[in-house]
Amino acid sequence: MKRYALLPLVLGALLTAGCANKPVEEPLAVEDVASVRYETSSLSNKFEIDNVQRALAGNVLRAQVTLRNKSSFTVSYQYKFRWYDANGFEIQQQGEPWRPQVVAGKGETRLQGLAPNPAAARFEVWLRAE
Amino acid sequence: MRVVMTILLSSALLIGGCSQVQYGDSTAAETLTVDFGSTDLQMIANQMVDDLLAFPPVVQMTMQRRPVVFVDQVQNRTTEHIDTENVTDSIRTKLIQSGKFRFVDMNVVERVRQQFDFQSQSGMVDPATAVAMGRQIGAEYMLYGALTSITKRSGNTRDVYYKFTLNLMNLETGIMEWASEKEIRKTKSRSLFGK
Repeated sequence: MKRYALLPLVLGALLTAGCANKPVEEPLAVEDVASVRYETSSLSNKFEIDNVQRALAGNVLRAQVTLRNKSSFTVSYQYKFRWYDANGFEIQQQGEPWRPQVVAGKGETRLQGLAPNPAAARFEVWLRAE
Repeated sequence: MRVVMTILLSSALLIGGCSQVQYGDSTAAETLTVDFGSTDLQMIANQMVDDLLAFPPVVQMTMQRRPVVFVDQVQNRTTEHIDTENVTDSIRTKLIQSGKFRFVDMNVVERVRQQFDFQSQSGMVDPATAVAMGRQIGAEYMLYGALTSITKRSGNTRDVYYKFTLNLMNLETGIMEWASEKEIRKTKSRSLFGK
């Protein structure tokens, strides 16, 4: 009987410890937040930016943006990457198509892009509703 | 009679007023039918180029020099009439624009030969300015691939699956250095009412 009385206490202690150890999420850098742009403003309420990663493939810029669908409903949207050189000029304005994509409710999606050439220094990923 | 003429004129003006030309966004997603369309072409070209340029051995290969490539025709193994050269043209253009590869074009060889003949044999071109023969650079790599499709129909629903495969072969060794696939699935349901 005494053993069963202790069980809720132990479980409670474990749960509390679990909560205390939850890592504190670092806020995204201003540059990362600015790299996700919405052509349809209502989409900005549906998505949350989880992570923005940049890397070099040789000397060409690569980008990956992880987005989370905050809503419980499936969201159909289109996205395209836009690349800018060091002076802010857009590279190949008509270069990329709008790519249709679907993300499930509460789902996560990763958008990947590779710059058209080594001149790219910065990117933006644009989202719009279908 | 005048009334009839007026009605005819008004209707002619109305019909004429209906036609309107508008420019649209060439990069917008096109979902008119499930057939192979402009968005499929653009997505395939983009995906292939991104894959090729990000593939680590290719990154290493193109760091110091720009290899010379030629594009073989992409086989159309679908039931549709698709201009596959259009897809390879887009891929080639993007690869040239990346500054990582150079290309030789086998489609213009005959016209180049005519120009060579004109420069060397017509007697109209100053021999000092005529281009030298036999100095063209041979391709090191060949890009080739295929486009296939699977179509299924059930009641009012039509489902099409496209797969585009592209390979890069080293012409000297015969080794396939890189390969990539892009899959596209499109479904169209016809409802009883509406479109």
